[in-house]
Amino acid sequence: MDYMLILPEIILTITGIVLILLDLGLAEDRKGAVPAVAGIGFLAALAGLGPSVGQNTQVLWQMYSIDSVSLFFRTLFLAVGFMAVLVSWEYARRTKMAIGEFYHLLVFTTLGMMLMASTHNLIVIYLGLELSSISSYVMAGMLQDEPRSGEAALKYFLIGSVASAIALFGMSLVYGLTGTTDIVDAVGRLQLAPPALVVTAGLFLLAGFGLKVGMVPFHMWIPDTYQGAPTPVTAFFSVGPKAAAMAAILRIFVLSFLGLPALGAGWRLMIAVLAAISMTFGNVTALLQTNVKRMLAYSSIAHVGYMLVGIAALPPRDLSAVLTYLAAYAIMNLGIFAVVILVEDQGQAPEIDAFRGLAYRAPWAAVAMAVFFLSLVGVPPTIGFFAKLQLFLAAVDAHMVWLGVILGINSAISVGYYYSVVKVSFLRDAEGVPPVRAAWTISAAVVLLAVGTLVAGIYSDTILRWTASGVTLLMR
Amino acid sequence: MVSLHGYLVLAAFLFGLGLYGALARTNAIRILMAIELMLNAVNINLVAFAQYLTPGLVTGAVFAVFVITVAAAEAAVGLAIVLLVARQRGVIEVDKINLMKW
Repeated sequence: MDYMLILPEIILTITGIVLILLDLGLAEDRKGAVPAVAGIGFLAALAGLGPSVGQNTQVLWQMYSIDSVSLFFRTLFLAVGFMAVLVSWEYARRTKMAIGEFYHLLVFTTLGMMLMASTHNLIVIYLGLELSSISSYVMAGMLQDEPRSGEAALKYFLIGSVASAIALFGMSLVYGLTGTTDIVDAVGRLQLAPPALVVTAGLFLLAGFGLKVGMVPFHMWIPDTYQGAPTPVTAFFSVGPKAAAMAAILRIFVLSFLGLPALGAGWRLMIAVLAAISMTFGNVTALLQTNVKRMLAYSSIAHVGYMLVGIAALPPRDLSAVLTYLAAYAIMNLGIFAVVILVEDQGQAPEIDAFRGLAYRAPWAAVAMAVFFLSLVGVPPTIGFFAKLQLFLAAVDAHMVWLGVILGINSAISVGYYYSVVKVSFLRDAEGVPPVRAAWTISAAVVLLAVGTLVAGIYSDTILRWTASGVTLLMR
Repeated sequence: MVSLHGYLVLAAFLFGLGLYGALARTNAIRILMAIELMLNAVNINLVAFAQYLTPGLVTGAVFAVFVITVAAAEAAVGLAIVLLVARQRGVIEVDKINLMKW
């Protein structure tokens, strides 16, 4: 039965509608229940993935793919959504955000990302993209009294809409060249189309989705949006919509552009060069930052560069390197943002100085932060190390040793700015900074993610095997 | 009858115009209008392709209907955000909205 396979999407839709109704019906002082409903919705949707395990089929008139790649992304997005509920709980209460609106937007953004990652059809990719984008523009501007939040929302909206329009123009060209919106059908027909037009369509798609993931030279909105948006929203943006756009790039490019024998080599070289520039630019600029949110924004540009290494190294290696890195990045980046939110919840601006003496104020949080930073740099035994190792091996296998070397050098550069935060936490005393009083939700998120970073590192073999099994399906 | 070529040239021109407007203008409302222009260029493309390349199949036209719907939603949210910024700052010129700079 088709409907059992899209159970998570159905549950999320119902949760979103229930949240809207709760927002309308509940008295202002009872809205505390709203995040709990959202969290339960995400957990129920995760449970709803059960019937999809091990399936490889197309449902809803060939519009929706249930395969192991889509299972991977749906699990990832639902888990990210659940963690976003945990990390935003106390923050939303403290900043008096419009809770009802915030959580239903979070649910619908997640739904849009799931649609985007589990389809071969350009129309559905576009609808998923817009459902998630339009909801997230609003989320960036949730702090109505904070001008930076409004500025972040405006910049995100303008750049995001231009990006959607550019990607859409590329989609219309693909449709014109092939007469179909199904990427799988389009692959064969693209090989008969004039190469110049195929390249044009590909460039539009790459520019559009490149803007969405924030790779250089399409990164300029990332720092402002990430700094201005409410921190839990930034945490969510940095992993969720990024991974969804990456999923769309994987589906479209791996299937229809990298696969073209005549053009494949040129695309791969271009993506490799963009990857190298993204990581170097992101890491070097991050060194100059004093605001931790802005620093992590530049760091996220660098991490997009790392992921592009995995795409450039296709097809000799499979997708497992990219997918593993996406999962690793989601865990460790959400973790580090959870620590930033924890510090902000003590009433401090997210400057590096706010982390002074964190090791004495909340030793467990400082240790967790160190684990996340070690993972982001790529130090064993964390998941970050194993994921980055896979990317490096992929680059070497694809005869792009230079790219692997740049990846290694960049990991070394990133130590510089990550260490600056760790240093003030452990080596400076806590004089003049408030003691840490953490709500149980944010503490639970920090601990869960820190344990996840270590445990996933130990079981990285299993993750690799799981992601590798999806490759053949995506490539079919 | 106009050839497919004509429609594609028109769409490319409109798209270029919209992209130029989005990049060169500083008033947020004007940028919003330029974005609408880009989306409508895509619609011309889609409908022209559907009519000339796959007569009888309406995939392209259906795609265009979805694009129109989404464009309306996007404009609604966009105007709300512009309104928020206008209320907070009193300006909607994007080059004057620069609290954050590195």
